[in-house]
Amino acid sequence: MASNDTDLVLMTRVKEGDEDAFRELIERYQRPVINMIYRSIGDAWEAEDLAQRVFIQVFRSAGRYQATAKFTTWLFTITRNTVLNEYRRRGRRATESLDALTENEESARQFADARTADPAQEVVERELQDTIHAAIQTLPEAQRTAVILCRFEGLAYEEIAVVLGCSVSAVKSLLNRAREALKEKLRGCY
Amino acid sequence: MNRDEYEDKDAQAAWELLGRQRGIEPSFGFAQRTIRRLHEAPARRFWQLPVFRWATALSCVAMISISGLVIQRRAIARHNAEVYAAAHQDTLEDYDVIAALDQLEDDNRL
Repeated sequence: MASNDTDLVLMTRVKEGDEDAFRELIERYQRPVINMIYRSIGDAWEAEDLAQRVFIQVFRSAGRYQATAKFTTWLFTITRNTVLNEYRRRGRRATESLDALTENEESARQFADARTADPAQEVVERELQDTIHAAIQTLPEAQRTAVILCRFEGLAYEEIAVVLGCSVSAVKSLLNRAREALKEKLRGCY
Repeated sequence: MNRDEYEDKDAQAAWELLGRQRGIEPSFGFAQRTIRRLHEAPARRFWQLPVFRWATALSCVAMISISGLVIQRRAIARHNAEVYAAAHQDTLEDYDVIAALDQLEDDNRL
């Protein structure tokens, strides 16, 4: 059964209040949702808290979900709205969350898996991770979301357009501008 | 190699470098905690709906505006009355006030 078909079956059960289906849905999508939020706000602990809110919203809005839309598109739209609400709550622009990145650096490191055993290599790797993270954080919100959905979640342009509420050509334009900006910010790292 | 090709390769390299960013793993029991939180979180009451919040905010703005308008009009009316009284002060002082009509004598008939 295709992934979207399984999602539709699960959502049908969730609409009826089936918590086992809801749990299965969470387990299927917890990682992409948490990572999308983490890459958007740069705070690992808060990413989990917000991801929980996203799934609670999914459960409560299940009745309004139309099977015509792909489930992941709907899920990422809710995720993006939750992140935007968080920006508003904080009362600052997304680009300013660099401060949060520094403040929560330790917690983020706690989450990251250590693939390198050599301490020197680990330091270099950490610096690279921080640089990439900072480069993504400095992008405007729409560009950042487009990059996250395209590069990390593998969504098609059409799906990204639905999540961002714009045209496919606008998505392509956002991604081109993001690539140009990232090229400058990451110069020297590649 | 021309400049455009060089630029494209840079952008491509930066794009590929992004892929090296590590994600985070959900903590143990995330799904269970989410479901528990779902049960703990009270369902939204009608006054917590965004529409209601907007309506409340707009009502407050309307109330403040109307109150301001009423206060302003009263102030203007009071000011006008004071100006009128000041303008007619002299003529008003020329009249004697008679408390009782019985006081009217022959010379002071109406």
